[in-house]
Formats: sequence, C-alpha cells, structure tokens
Amino acid sequence: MSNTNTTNNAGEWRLIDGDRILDMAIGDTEFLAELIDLFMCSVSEQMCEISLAIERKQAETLAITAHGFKGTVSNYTKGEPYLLLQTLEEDGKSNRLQDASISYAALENEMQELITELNTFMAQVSH
Amino acid sequence: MKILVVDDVGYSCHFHARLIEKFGYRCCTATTGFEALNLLKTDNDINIVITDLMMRGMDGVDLFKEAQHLERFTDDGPLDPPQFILMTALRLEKNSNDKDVQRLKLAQELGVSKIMFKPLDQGELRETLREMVTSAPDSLNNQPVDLYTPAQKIKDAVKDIIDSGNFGAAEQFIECLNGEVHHLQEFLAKLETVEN
Repeated sequence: MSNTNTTNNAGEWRLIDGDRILDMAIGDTEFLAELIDLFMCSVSEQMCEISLAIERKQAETLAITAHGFKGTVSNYTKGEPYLLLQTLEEDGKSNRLQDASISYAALENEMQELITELNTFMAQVSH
Repeated sequence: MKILVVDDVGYSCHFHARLIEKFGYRCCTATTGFEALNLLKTDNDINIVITDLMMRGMDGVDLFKEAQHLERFTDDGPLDPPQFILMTALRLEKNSNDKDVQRLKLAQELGVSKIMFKPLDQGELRETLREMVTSAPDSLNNQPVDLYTPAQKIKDAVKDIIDSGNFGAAEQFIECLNGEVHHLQEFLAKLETVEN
C-alpha cells in the first residue's frame, strides 16, 4: 500500500503541515533537522512497544504507549497516523484488542509515508 | 532559575527541553516522576516544572502532589514549591468518564499553575514561562546583594593606585574593570532576551 506521491496535485502534503512544522522548530531549520532525526530514531522503538503490547494482549500498556506516541506524532501530523494511534489508545483503554492488529498494520504503512514526507520536506527546506 | 522537563517519552522530553533552552532558559530533564522528585530534592535552582500527565509509575498529578510536600531550604530560608505546567495529549471534552480525563480534572482542582495541550502552542508556552519567571518569589528572582562593600573596595583600590603613581597597575585595573563591565552587560542582554 506504499504511496510514493507525498504531495497532491496542488503541491500540498497529504500528512504534514509544513508551515506548522517549521513553527514547531521556531523557524530554525537546523533545530528542525535535529528534531526530525530524533523522531526518526524513536519511531522503531515506539512501534515495537505497541506491537509487543498487542501481541501480548496487554491492553493497559497498549493504551499508554499509543498515547505517548500520539503526543510525539501530533507534532508532525493530525492525519491518519495520529488517528490510528488514537484508535489504538482507545482499544487499549476499553480492552478491545481484536482489531488492534489491523490498526497496527495500517499504522506501519502510514508511518512509512510520514517518514517519506518528512525526508522530502527536510530536503526542500535545507536548500 | 532552572526549568525541569519531565516526560517518559524520550523524544518529547528532549524536544521540550531543547525548545526551552532556545527560549533562553536553563533546563534539566527527568524521564520518570521519581527521578524528577529526586532532582527537586537536590537542586534548589529548579522553580518551574513542565511535566507530562500520563506517565508510567508516578503520573504528573502525583508528581505535583508530592512536590507540594517537599521541604527545600536555602541559606535565606524555605523555598516555595515549584510552579507546575502539566502537558497532555488528552482532550477534556472527550470521554469525560475516562480515568485520565478525571486525573486532568483533579489537576485543575489541585491548583496546577497551567495545563497545556500537546502539541504545545509555542507562543503560549513562551508567554507562560515569562509570566512564571516574572512572578517568581523575590528570594529566587531578585536576591538582595551587598553592593556597598565591594564598591568601597574598588574605590580604595583606585585610590591606592593613584597614590602609588603606578601607571602599569592603573592600566591592568582598568582592563580588569572593563572585563567585569562586559560580563554585566552580557547578563543584562540575556535577561532582556528572556523577558522578550
């Protein structure tokens, strides 16, 4: 389900809001690069924690880890990755884990797209 | 004056600490409520805490409650408890029966100085910190300093140099004074940056 087109015909991003991301780094592109690097490094660990919680059917752990990751992701997008994390958090809180694996699989794809958009965005603002 | 950032998500902790440093404040971090309490016990410079609400072990509300009972002293007497900013990705209007939303409401009732929602509005954060620093107790923000004694010593030293007619000593002392004036100017410029 990988989508290599990160922008639509109008040149807008599907997931990220470039202006808001630059604001987050108070317009400092070096600071932004540092933040995005750190985000990329943290993604695999946080995804792994969510995956393990689902696999082990640990509802409370799933709620906490999804909530924590949602806070991180909210700095970059309020789109699909954020909404999927919200769903996973609610699944954990209500102890309904039967659909969590499906949400997680969708989240993996969406995170890949988010990373692609962020890499492209960084390449643009660095020039 | 130092700001303590507490968040069990490493990215979030680092991001907010770096942002606060960019605003011109000194900052330290903790990734658990227990670590934060230990820092508060040992570092009297901390008088603002920015903490996440939902954390494993001790959450932000429990950290706030524990911090109110800490006894911190300096040579000038007891310190007030630190001011708290509670950060959360929760929304109050949703799931009012949710356990975490109840914790957030409890934080409001207990008197947490400020609740901010992630992603934090940076303008609001900067303004909140500025207000908190400005309203910090005088014992932290504007400690009385004895200026008479050192000023008198400088006057005595200048008189001694003039009386001795030592040209080299006069030049050295002027250089030394200029260096200290420069330090004071840097200090004032930094304060103005923080206040703006």
